Amino acid sequence: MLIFALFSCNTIQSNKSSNDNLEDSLNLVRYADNLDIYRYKSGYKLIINTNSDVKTFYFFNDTVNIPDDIVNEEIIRVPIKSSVAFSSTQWSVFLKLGDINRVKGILEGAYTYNTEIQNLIKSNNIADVGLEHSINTEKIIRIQPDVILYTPYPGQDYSYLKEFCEATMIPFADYLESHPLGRAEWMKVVGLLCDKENEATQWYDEMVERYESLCDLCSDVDNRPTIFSDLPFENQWYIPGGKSYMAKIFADAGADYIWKDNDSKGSLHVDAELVLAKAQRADFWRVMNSYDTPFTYERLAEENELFPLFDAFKNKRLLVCNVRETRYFEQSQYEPDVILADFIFYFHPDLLKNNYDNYTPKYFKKLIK
Amino acid sequence: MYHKNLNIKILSLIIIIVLLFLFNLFIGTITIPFEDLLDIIFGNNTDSTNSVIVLNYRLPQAITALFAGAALSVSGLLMQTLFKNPLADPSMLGVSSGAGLGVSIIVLLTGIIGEKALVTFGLWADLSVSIAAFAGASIVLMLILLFSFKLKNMTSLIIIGLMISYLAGSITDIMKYFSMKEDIHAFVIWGLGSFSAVGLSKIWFFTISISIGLILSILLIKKLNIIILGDTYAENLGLNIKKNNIAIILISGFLTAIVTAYCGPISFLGLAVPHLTRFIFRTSDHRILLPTTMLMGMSVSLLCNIVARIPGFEGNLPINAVTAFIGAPVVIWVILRKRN
Repeated sequence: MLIFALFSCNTIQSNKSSNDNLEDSLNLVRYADNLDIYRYKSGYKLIINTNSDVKTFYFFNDTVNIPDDIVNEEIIRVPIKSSVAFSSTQWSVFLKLGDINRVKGILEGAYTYNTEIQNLIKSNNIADVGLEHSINTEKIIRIQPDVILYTPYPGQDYSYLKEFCEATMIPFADYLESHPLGRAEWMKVVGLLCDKENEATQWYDEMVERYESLCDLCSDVDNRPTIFSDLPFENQWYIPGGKSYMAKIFADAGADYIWKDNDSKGSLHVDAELVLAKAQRADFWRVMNSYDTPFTYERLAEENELFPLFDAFKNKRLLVCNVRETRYFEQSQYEPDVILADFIFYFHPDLLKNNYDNYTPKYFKKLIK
Repeated sequence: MYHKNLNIKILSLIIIIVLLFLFNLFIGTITIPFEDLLDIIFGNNTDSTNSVIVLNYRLPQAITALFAGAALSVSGLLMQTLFKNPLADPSMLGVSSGAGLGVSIIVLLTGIIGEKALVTFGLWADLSVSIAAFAGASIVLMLILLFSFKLKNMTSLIIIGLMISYLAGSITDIMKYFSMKEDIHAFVIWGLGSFSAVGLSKIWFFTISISIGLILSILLIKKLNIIILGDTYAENLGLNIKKNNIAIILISGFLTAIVTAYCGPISFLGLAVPHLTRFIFRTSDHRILLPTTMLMGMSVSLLCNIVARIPGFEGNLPINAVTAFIGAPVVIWVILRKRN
């Protein structure tokens, strides 16, 4: 798998690098599809593909001279001094690397559950620069960041920010990655920005090792329980596609996702009768919940009377993640091994018993009552 | 002759409604053979997944469509008669915008108190959304009533209704601006309308309250006929115009509020169906117009619900898109035919 990934990345890279004079043509990226990192002279070259655009950036330490051939390219001097991070998946890496002081502004600050970030906002060390559709441009201008890390959703154009500040705009296309290890690998971008490439890579490689060994545990299980996902809104279900991030984790954890044959990497919109027809007999049901209020089968049944018709509901096999308590959106992306272990704990408890004594799931808890 | 024709038309309409209702049970994302459907309907097959789909999902949806269609159409007719304005519809008094405001407040408050998108979890979301929508609609309705005590002129009341509508809309927009994108998405979905949110357990409340509204509207028939003659004439006939207007506003608003609370702001049916009915039945006598509008509303809304489940698509199309898509060409056609 790994060899294949390296091989496939190398083939892409050899196409891209034909004119580039790369000193070391090895792509440092192992799993991410939309990210390439190469050593370039005394720095790094980074290529990001956002579906609509391909962007190249060069990272050089403050102390070295910029090679002549790239003076007109987008160059970032690392470590950066200040940045604005649009997503929690970005600032959480700064936090983990001990470099949160390099983040001066974040989006959706009012909605974060992280107390450290909340305190930094309160003490005016980090500015809350608004929401994705209503960015507070003036606050960003005041920060004058070196770098703005943004999420390149289709139709979102932040290029106007360039008129007001000198910041390099880096599209953080982590959400486009459907492989859990690919999505986690974007931590390396933040590693480069903090001039801590080695530290980030080590953190990543150790995680990959754990993920792969967990995968091996389940690779030849005979009994694969079935699972489906999410709660509907007005009986319209938005569920992970068959080639999506979650579908991959379900498969790696030795389960059969009900929509595994679907080809979508994003999410699917299906109506309740299709979900009933396909998933009524499924063994497990994964649910995300963001409330403090007690989440019980009784209340779920009150909310939608179709719910009790599902076997997973009748047999009390809902796997619930409280995104608030677990800080799921901020942390889980860099711990796919933990999500995987959580699911294996429920799908194949014996496998985990032999290798991880007394494992306690971190993100997903089985709903008992 | 007219009465014979009328009876035939009404009978055909009832047959069409029955057929459309059956089609609503038959057509969906999942293909269920007709024999199986009959087995399910006659209770010979009660525990397969197919029976769950038909009885727990499609049946309440069809009943909702039936009652929502009747309610909105009658509500539209009442408004058109009251305001003597062919463009009047249930949303004109701001009742739907009030409901929208109620929903957006709930969405935003959950954002602030729950600190995360309402939809990421869903619990109570559906329930609190209908309560909020009903509360919002009722508050606007009460406001309109207060104004109607002050104003005798119905045109002024329409303008006030529109202003309240704008006001509610603008507060809604401000709230949306400060909400998480997942919540905005939920709000957008709510705004598209759906007949699937009323489950079997809520269907009783839904149908009974709409039935009460419809029965009360039937009691108004005589007065509606007097209103078309003009205020002076009506007063001469001893009609208490103010009391009468308030009764009409209350019933029309109540019907709209209930439907909007459970199905979202469904547009167009209230405006278009009375026109279609007048064209087909060629009458302005409410003794005929009101019951036939009810039947027309039922059939159009059942038809829209079938189109919304267009084959080959795994999710449902939004009802609001379908009502206008089917309704608008029909109304244009009706107007052109009338000219000729």
